[in-house]
This record gives sequence, structure tokens and C-alpha cells, in this order.
Amino acid sequence: MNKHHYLLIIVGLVILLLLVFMLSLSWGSVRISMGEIYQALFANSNNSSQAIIIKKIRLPRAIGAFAAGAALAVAGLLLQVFFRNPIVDSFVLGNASGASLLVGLVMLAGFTFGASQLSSTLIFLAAFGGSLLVMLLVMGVAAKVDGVVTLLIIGLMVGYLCNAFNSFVIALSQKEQLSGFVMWGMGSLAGITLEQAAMMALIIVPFLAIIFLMSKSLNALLLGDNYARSLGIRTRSVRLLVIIVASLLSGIVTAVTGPIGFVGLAVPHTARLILGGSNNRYLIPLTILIGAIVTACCDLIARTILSPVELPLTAVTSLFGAPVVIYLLLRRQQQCRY
Amino acid sequence: MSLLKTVQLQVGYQGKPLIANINLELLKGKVTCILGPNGSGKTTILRSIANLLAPVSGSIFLNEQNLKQIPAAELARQMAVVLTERFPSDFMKVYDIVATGRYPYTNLLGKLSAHDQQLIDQAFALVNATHLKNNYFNELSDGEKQKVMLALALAQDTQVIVLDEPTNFLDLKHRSELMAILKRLSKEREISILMSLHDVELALKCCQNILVTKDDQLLQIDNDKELENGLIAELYRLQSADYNQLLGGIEFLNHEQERVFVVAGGGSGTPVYRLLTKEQIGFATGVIHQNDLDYQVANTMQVQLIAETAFEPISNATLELAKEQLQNYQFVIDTGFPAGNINRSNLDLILTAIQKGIKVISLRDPREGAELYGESQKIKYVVDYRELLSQIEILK
Amino acid sequence: MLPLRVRRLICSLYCLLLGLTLVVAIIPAQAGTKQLELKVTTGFKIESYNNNIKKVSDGAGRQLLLVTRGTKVPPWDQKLPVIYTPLRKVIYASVTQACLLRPFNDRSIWKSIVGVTIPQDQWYIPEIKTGLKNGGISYVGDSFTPDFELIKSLNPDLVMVYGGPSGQYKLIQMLKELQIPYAVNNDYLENDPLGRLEWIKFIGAFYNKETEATTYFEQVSKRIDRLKNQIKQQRAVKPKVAWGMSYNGKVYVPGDQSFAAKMIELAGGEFVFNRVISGVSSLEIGLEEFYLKAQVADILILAVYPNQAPSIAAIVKETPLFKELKAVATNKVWCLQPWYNQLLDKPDELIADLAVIFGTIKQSPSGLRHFKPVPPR
Repeated sequence: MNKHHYLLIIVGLVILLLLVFMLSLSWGSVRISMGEIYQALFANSNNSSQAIIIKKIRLPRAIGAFAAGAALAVAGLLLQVFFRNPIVDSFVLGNASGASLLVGLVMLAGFTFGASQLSSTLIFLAAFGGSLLVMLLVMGVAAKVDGVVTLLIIGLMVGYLCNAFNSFVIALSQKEQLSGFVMWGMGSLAGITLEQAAMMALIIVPFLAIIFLMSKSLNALLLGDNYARSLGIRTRSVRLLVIIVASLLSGIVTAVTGPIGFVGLAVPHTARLILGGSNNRYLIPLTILIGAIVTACCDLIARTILSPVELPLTAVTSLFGAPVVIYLLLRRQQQCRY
Repeated sequence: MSLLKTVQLQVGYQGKPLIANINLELLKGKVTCILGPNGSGKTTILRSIANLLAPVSGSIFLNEQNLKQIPAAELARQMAVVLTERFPSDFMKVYDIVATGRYPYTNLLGKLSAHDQQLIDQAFALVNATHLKNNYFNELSDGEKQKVMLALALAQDTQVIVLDEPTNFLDLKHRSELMAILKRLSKEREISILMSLHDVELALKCCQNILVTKDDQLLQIDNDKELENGLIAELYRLQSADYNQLLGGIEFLNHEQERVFVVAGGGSGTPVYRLLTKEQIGFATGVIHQNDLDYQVANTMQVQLIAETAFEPISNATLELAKEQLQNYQFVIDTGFPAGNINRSNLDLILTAIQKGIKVISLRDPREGAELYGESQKIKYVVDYRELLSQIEILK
Repeated sequence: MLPLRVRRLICSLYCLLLGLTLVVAIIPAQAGTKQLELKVTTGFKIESYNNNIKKVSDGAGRQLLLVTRGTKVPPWDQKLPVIYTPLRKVIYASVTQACLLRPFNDRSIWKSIVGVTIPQDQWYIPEIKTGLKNGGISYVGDSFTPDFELIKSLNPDLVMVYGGPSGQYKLIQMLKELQIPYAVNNDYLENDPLGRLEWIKFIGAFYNKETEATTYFEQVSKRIDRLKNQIKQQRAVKPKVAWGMSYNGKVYVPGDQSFAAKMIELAGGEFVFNRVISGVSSLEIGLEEFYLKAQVADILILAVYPNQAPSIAAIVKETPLFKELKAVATNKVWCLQPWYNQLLDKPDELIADLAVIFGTIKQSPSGLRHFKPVPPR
């Protein structure tokens, strides 16, 4: 793919993004016209029901979906480069399991850490804390281990360990509380506030920029540690940075929305198939845009298709994406001779 | 002028030295090779020099600077590597891979300037891989992949290139092509090349400076002397074959029970010797002159050999010895050797065999044979080696 | 002219009188409020200043000011959220709360419901079912993640939610964002049947019907007392009762402080799982432990709805262990009716039904209809 072709695709994706944004603002259980949307966003004095729905429900969801999608997709890409393995997603290092464990303790085992009521802040802190703990554990191991496959297995095992503890918690819990916990586990943007969405975006965007600046080191890492080192890359520090950034990105999203699957696995693949290569300098912007668009679309479907019941986000992302990736891979198989 | 020098270098893993007292020098424009059997430490030495493995002790100097003190980016501009390791390369374009060779020179985002692109294109041209530029790395054959990795190292535009067993997975065509490229590069661009090989032939024929890993030392070889003294056989612990430096190759040893006497000369014996050794049939041969190719082959095979001084006619003593010897054998093979002044006597051997009633199989043209030996029922004429073999089978 | 001392005396008396008046006028809160008496629950508080203004402390300890429409909000309490009573548009985010409206028998109260969080086919209250059918009441989605847009567009005066350790934290957060008033009703956390019923006073306050609520509460309390006496007099043998459910080969039983355990006790039965699980929760126990305790039970009550217990043969097929139980062998197996969760206002009927099942009274005033016997086949 040449430069012009690539720029065309980027522009196309940005336009698509804006389109999806407009759709997210205008579709929902309540009919709201374009004019009302414009008023709600830009005429500050408007406090009608519609304006509040736009500002407090749809806008945070749209922003949240974009931020979450971009973050998870890039985290998945980072880990795929790190492990040089395409079948890896943002949660392979076990951080979603860690988050689940702590949230399980809070929602099911009553470890409310002093708070009298269940609240969003408590869930957020528990989820983020869980991811963080797992990340520290994995980083500790990463510093001592050189082999990449070993680290992958350790991450998977830590994930299983957390799931095991979680099973204890589930077995000892009230049946009625389980449904809430299970729903959390499938990820959702419902109920996200403008504050939460803005916070996610403010934290995620700088990290995306950092990763884009790291694209050169990431390309070198693809060749293996030895080649990367002989090209002058400090592999130890780059690897550590990759783990930290990937864990933080997926941790912050999980803390706000719960685990959203598939995005970290499939979006980088789709981007690679569109780009026709693995050069991270071009791949990263593509991944960011596609991740944001896909997640926002899935969220739109999740909240409108069976209204007023809302589907969990993971259900839609998996249903929608897996067949697409299979189709794309089959088509590629036909094109290249192996 | 030495680009790279090691001083009392000791290499090994986890503090345990494998090879010690390494003092080598890489000169500008020369190809240096480290030769040795599998597992003898070649890769360890190479990786230590390429700064991929910490040495146990000692130091390495590149352009008079201690390797440890050269910052990573600067080192990348002075030394490049080509390794045997494979990386999972799903969906990677060949051009992108070679382009990473420019990373020590590009800015933060890795943008390639016109100059960078020119060097990359040149690198492709140098390894004859320009037609592979737009392919995916997965689709290439092993030989092509190796050429691409060499292109990467070339794009890095360094004065030193270190290659770890570059010919390992390559067929004859790609092996010779690669070595030819390396030789040309070192000469034209004054690049210093260090590689490890276990292919003796390539090493001797392509590399100007040969080092050998023997026991736990790295020895310098002055091309001819040490090799003739069976260094290779000792180094590689050859048991079923021996290496002949003049032939530049190995011959399998033949210690089988001797049943055939081969009268040969002028290179005609060599295919027969090899056939008999392949079929594990023991033989003796004579009278072969020391300047004859057949002498080299038979000697390396360690078979009974009756020899004559180079370029001298066969002496009577030698001839009598041969006549005596050949009576111990079941049959005699006449390889159809050209009979000239110095070896005409060998024809007598055939006649002696006929006299004594020993079966003779001859590869000669029957008419020529009739002229030389007269008509005889005792000679069986065969046309090619396959017939020769079946005759031997019949006569067993 | 009066003497100086007498003038001073009159002056100070006058000041005192003035001061008292001021005090009485400006600080009426403590003096004039009346606390609504709560017999069993401690989950909420209602303090009335007068007939039109009351301060309510909800299940989460939040204070709300309930003001009758048309009345002016007192200046000294303007920081509290104000709810105008009686409620005209309310969304009930829990199925247990709506049934407490039944005893009021007031059409305007039923009309005040605009949204619920379970769909039509799961309701057993005809007024709500009809409302859902004709569109007067909207189904706003699942109670954890409902359709917030719909909720906002309905513009309710109040959303009644539930809190506690598995409360509707997402819904509450969103209501705060959307600036929709809400009240936390934790009736489901009560373990005493009367405690659950007493929350009718809480809901009643929002319709200015505290008196009716209290009256009804007293009626039901008396009925339960009568029942208790009846059971004592009958001196029937205390039957052993097992209560639990099985799912996928596992058995779950309630704790000995739970609602089920309390009801069994009140109905004159002996809960076989006493001291097995302490506390309130319903937990999984091993089949061995279950069998040990349950095999001597005279009666087995399955905490499931009829579609999950169509016949004794079916449940034995799913959990073969049940065949060994005495209650199963003697066909004394019962299950809940689908409206079990919508009976908070009729704890007396529930207990009476249980007593009939246990044989501790001869018949119940309402007729045994809240539990269903599980047929053998």
C-alpha cells in the first residue's frame, strides 16, 4: 500500500468515525432530532429532557465507546507485538481476571472496605486495583524472565489463578447477587457518566500518543530481541514499557466498563489485513480508529436492538467481529500463495 | 588496519567460560571465519562479539573503543548481525523488514528519507533480491529469507558484519551465491566480515582468515600446514570418513574385506573406488603414481595402495610387488586407464591376471582390449559402472 | 410610678415571654415534630412537622423532604431534596415494592406508576399488568442496567430503588446525573415478615397515607398474633421442615436468620437446617450434609416456581438424592407460586398457608393458595 492509499483510508475512517458519533447521538429509545442535538451540545442554557438525555446519556456513551475501543485495540496490538503472537488480546496477562476477582470480592463477598453502600467509585477502585496488582505481579516476573513464551504462560496462569479464587467467591455468594456480577463481567457502557468518560479519554489519549512514538521500537521488536538489540533498541526497557502501558490501558477501561472481549484481539488483525503489513507506524493510527468505530457501533447495537433491555457489550463485539475476521483471513488465504 | 579486536576474551553462559584466551583481530576488507564442529562454541563467540551475550571476562574493542562504552545507537551504526533465528513473521512485508536496518539513522518516528530509501534499494540489489521487495516474508524460501536478512544488515551500512552460520539452511545455489556476495562486498566496500561455519569446504575456499575452535581454545590457522596434518579429521573427529585438503572434500573410508584388485590411473580409478566403497566392497589398488588423482582418493580411503614416485616410470620392484599382490584376489578390475609412458607396465598386471586364471572385468573398449591383451575368454568387457557392479555380484 | 424593683421585674418577665415566643416561633422543628412509630424495622425514619411537611430518612440514610403540593417549602430545610406528595409519576425499580401499594386500594396510587423493571408476563398484580398492556406503565428494562433515556423521558417525580450490598449502584449514579429524585427502599433486606411489611409506612408517606398504612400494619400484626395463639393452642407436633432448592445437582439452603427460616418458625415448624448456615444468605451445601439433615424432614418445600418442579418424578430425576428423603417418599413436597415475590403485603397469608401445610392449624382464612403441592407425576 502506498502513502496516498493509506492517507485516503485514514481520512475515510475519520469520516466514518464522525458519522458513527452522529448516529450514537441521534439513535435511542427517545426520538431526538438533529436540531435538538445541536442545541443540546452548543446552547448551554437548554435543560430540557432531550438535552439531558443527549448530554448525560448519549454523549458520555459515545465518548466512552471511542476511548474504550481505541485503548483496548491498541493494548491488544502492543501485546501481540510483545509476544510476537497474533492470538493474543488485551487480557492475556490476566488483568481482567484480576479486576474480576476484586470486583467479585466487593459485589459478592461483601468486602466493601468500609463503605456502607455499593457505589460506582467502589467498583471502579476494585477493578482498577485488581488489574494493577496483576500487572505488578507480571512485571515482577517479566524482570526476571527473558523468554517471551514463558511470560505468556505465566500471564495465562495468573489469570486462571484469579479465576479460581473467583470461583470460591461465586460458590459462597447469594444467587441474587450473581446476576449483577455476571452482567458486570460481560462489559457495558450503560450508566457511564460524562465525568467518567472524560476521565477515560484524558488518560487514554496521551498514552496513545506515547505508543505512536514507540512505533519504531515496536517494529524492531517484531524481529526478535537479538535483531532489535543489534539495531540499537534497548529491549529490556521497551518491553517493560509495553507491559505497563498495555496493562494501564486495559485496566482503566475494565475499571469503568467491565471486561470487553474481542476488541483487543480482532481489531489489530483487521487493521493488519487492511494495511497489508505490520509496520506499526501505519498500523497504530488504523488500529485506534477501527477500535473506536467498532466499539461505538457495537455499543449502539447493544442498547437499541432489544430496547429497553440492553445486551452486554462483549456479546455484541464477539458476535459481530469473529465472523468478520474469519472471512477476512479466508480471503487473504486465497490471495497469497503459501 | 584492525577494525575489531578482542583482548583475552572469555566467553560462556552464566559466568561459566566455554572458550578462553580469544585474541582475534578483524581486518578491514577481509572475511574471517570461525570453523568448528557443532556445539564447539562458535555461536557463543559470535554472540559475545556482537554484544548479544555478555562475555565472562576480557574486552572487545571496536575502532579502538571498548564495546561496553559504545552507546547502543552508535554501535548499531558500526556493527550489524545476521543470525539463524527465525521470528514469527505473519504479515510482514520484505521491504519493511529491510527498512528496519535504517533505524539507527532515522528520527524518532522512523521516517525514511530519500537517502535511506536509496540505501535500502541498494541493499536489495547487492543481494539480488530486488524482485522480492513487495512479497511477504513468509512466502520466501529459506535461501531467499537469508538473503533478505543480509540485505537488512547491509542497509545498516556498517563497517563490520557478523554472521552466524549463514549457510545453514541453504542449498548449493544459494550457499555459493551468498558467499560470493560476501566476498565481493568485503572487497568493494572494505567491510570486515566475521562468520561462523561448519562447512569446511566453504571456509577454505572463501575466507581469508580462518580460526578454529578446538577444545576450549580458538586457534589461528595458516592455511596449508595444519590442515594437511589431519587437523580437520581430528577437529571433527571423523571416524567413517577422512578429509583431503587437496580434493577439498571427504572420502569415506573403506576397511572392508578386500576382494578386488583395481588397476587404475589417470583419474579412471576414482569413480570405481567410490562405487566399491559405496557398495562396501573392499579392494586394493596399484600401481598408482603419487601425482595421480587416483592416489589422493585411494589414500584418503585408506585402502591398500601400491604407489610409485611422481612422474617416474613404474620400477621393476614395484611391478613385481603388484604382481604378487594381485594373486590374492578373487578378481581384477581394469578401469580402462590411459596407458602412457610412465604406467605402461600396468598392462602387464592385467596379462598376469589372465595367466594366473584370475577373472578380469574390464571397462575398456573391447577392440582396444583385444589389441592390448589379445583374445581371451577370461576377460569380461563391461560398458558402464552398472554392468560392472552386476558382474561383481555374479562373481561373488 | 411603680417602684424600680417592680419595673425591673416586669421588664424581665416581658423579655422572657418575648424570648420564649421567639424560640417557639423560630425553632419549631424539635418541638413540633412527630416521629412515626416503627414496631419492627430500623431501616427508615419518618418525622412529620405537620400534616403537610415531613422529613424522611430512607434506606441509605438520605434525608428527603416530603411536601404536599401547594404547600410552601420551609426556609430552614431548603437544602434537602424536595418531593411533592402525593406522587403523581413514580417508577418502581423493584418488584417487591409495588405490591405494598395493594392494601391502599386506591386507583390514583395505581395510576401514579409510570415505569417498572420487570415485564408484563412476570407481574401478578392485575392493575400493573393492565397498565403495561395499555401503555400507561412502561417497562424500562432490567433493574441493573435499565434504559436511562426512557426513564428520563418519563420524567418521574421519584424513582424508588433498592440499596444494600447488592444495590442498584449504576441506576443510582445515573439518576443523580439525570437529576431525577430517588428514594432507597430496602424492604427486601428485612428478614422478619412484619419488618418487610412495615415498609408500607415508608411508601405510604409519599402518598400522605401513613395512617392507612399504620392501620393495615396493625391489622396484619394482629392476625399474625392470632395465628401464633392458634398454633400454640393446637399443641400439634412441630413438624420438621426442609426448605431449599436444587440446581444442576447442587443444593442451596437459606440461613437460619433468613426470611424463610423466620416464617417456618412462626408457622409452627422446625427448620431442619438451623445452625447449618448461620446468618441470612442462601448458600450451597454439600449433598451429604443436605441429606443428613433433610432425610428426617416431614415436609420439603422447594424454593422454586412450578415450572421448575413439575412433578416429584422430575425433580428426583434431576437430583436422585431426593428419592431418599422421607418427605419425597410420603409425597409431602411443595413449591412456591410464581407470585411469591409479590406478597410482601400478605405475610399473614403466607404464614397461615405454611401452618396449614405443617398441620399446625386446620385451615387458613385465605385458603391455601400461595404454595403448590408438587404432584407425584
